[in-house]
Amino acid sequence: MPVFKRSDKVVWDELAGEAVLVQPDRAATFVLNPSGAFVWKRCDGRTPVERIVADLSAGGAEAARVEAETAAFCAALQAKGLLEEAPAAPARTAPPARFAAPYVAPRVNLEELADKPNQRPGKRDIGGSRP
Amino acid sequence: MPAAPLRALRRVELYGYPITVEGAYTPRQWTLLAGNREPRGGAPALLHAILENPPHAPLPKPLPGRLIVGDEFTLDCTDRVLRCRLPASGSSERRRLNDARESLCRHALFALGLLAERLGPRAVSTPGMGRRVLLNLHASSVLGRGGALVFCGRSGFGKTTLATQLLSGAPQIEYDLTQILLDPSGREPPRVIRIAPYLKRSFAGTARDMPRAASRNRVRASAQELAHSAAPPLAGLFWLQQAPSCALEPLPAADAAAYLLPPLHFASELRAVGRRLSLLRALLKQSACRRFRFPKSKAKVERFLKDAGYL
Repeated sequence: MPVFKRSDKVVWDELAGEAVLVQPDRAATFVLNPSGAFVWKRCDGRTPVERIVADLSAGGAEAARVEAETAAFCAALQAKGLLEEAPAAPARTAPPARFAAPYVAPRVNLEELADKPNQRPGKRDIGGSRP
Repeated sequence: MPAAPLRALRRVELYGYPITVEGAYTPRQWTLLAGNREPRGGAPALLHAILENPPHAPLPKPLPGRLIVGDEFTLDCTDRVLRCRLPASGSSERRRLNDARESLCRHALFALGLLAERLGPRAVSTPGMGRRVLLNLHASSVLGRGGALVFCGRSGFGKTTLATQLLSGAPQIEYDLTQILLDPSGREPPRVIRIAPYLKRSFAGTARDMPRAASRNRVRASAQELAHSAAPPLAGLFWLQQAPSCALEPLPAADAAAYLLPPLHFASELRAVGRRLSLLRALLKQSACRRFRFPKSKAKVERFLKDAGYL
């Protein structure tokens, strides 16, 4: 199975178990659910997807289902330019991580596209006459 | 290292006043100056100075900050004293001058917020601000029972309508751009900067009083005033949505951060975007954002927020 790494052009942070991803060049913002955030954090360029699937399904979820959903999720993020396939097989894999929450299919909960990616406030925004 | 000489960055005009924007930046202090070394002037394009003439790369340690907007106007964050002097000869129209002053304040604070995003919170912290930094939000705000109520939303969501019409009974703080004084470490509660009280107090006189007012225009607020009036604590953070009836719903922190992220002034700079995201994370950790569905009915909105304990 492939190994993915997070794109260098994405800024991200974790809030309350979910992940917020910002793609400045597309002016796009994504919110990943907790399973998605777990997958995202593990896409470090050295952890193969099998390892991520094993960690996700450690809580009792059906491995085949987790594998299919994780693969689809990674492919979706790759299509959006958020994930990149790591070029070579990793020399060493990251240690296993535990996914504590109940398994739900990893997904993008919210996708926001800014109307004006580099919006600068006009006079009214930072002063000017009151309405 | 000596201060780099101030250099003219831009000449603009606001409310009829010619402005020269200048800037200087040293390892020990940053200074931005928008005003008038020239005979007359008055106001600002700090925003342009920052956006179009980027300062240096992020700095390794905190700097003592002091924002000087012209030698006619100083916003000194060190002791939270707002000093402003405008030339009496500029205009006899008090309203026009008040607008210009208020606009200057907003530009100055807005500039601080942008600097915080761009250079990092500590780069623009001052002794008076302590660990706190400014976070600009595209939001309106009013003063409620427990502090400031901040209403966020895209253009057209009803921010201004809410602050100026539907909640006209509550003192308005801002109608479009709200600035949060935020302690990223979470030790101090977030507060909302309130500019207008200073200005109204400073220039409550008639146009005839302007020269005298201008000569002694120094406003000092007591600690209590600062705490409860000038920078009220954040009592509620809302994401607006118009609906037939009022309702408050929880909004996941990650969704709220995604909503509050724009406008991204430095969208192409990953570090600046990351900083804004981390400031939003700190804000949302201290104050949860709720989705506020509201109809365009003053009576309904006021009653609902009163029942909910906000007004």
